[in-house]
Amino acid sequence: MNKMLHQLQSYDFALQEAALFLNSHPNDQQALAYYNEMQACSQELTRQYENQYGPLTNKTNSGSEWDYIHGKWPWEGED
Amino acid sequence: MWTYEKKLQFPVNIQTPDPAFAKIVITQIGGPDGELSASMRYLNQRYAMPYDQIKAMLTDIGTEELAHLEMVSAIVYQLTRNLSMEEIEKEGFSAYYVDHTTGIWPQAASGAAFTSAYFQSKGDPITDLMEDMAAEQKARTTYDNLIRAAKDPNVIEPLVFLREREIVHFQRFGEALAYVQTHLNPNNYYRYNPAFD
Repeated sequence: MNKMLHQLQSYDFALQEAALFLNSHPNDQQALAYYNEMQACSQELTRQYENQYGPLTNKTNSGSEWDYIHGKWPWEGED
Repeated sequence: MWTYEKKLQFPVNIQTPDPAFAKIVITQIGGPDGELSASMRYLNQRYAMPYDQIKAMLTDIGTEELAHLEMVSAIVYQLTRNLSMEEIEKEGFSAYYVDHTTGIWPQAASGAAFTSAYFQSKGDPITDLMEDMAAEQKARTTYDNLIRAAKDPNVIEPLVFLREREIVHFQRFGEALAYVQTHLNPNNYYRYNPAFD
């Protein structure tokens, strides 16, 4: 089980949940503050995760190799 | 998982409504060789594909097809914007209008509803990739037919882009098929399912 991945899934889920709420409550400052906090957490952890395990999207491959195709695909389950 | 980006893959800016053309271009939303069927074909085929680089290809092309679905939907939306009842009747848009007003609903040019019978996911990489190459050609032919019928350059431009993508995807799937065939067990003369047998 990959703890970093699970933490990232939690941040991104929180971000999604906040976004849905903000769509119908765009002036809610408390929700917006929560969204901003989760966004910062998600961005930082995405950076760390991709450095360690490779790109999560085909737009974030970095370095001199095409790593995007390597590693398990999400539907195959975790190691 | 997926994330939405609030932009089109290629601009669609149509100023002049044309419900008659909307009625035929809608086939690339929900018709037999349309973008919805293309996306569902590739995204569903991924699970039976044993090779990482082709899993990536099916994922990325299946995702791009969703962006194409959005482009064709934008075309239909802009072609049917601010229509009067008179224009709807004169341009033969009444049958669509009565069921959907000017909302977007996936159907073929004939009016037939979208169905998953428009694509196959056979669980055999060679069978599936052959289907994918044929599908790209059928979609390219459909765009050829649409471009021939279109007059507005603002409609033609995005259609030409979409046609070109069919050609590129056909090329990529051809490479995928070649990859599968060179990685087959040398005793598999008759190309039996390399994902199952």
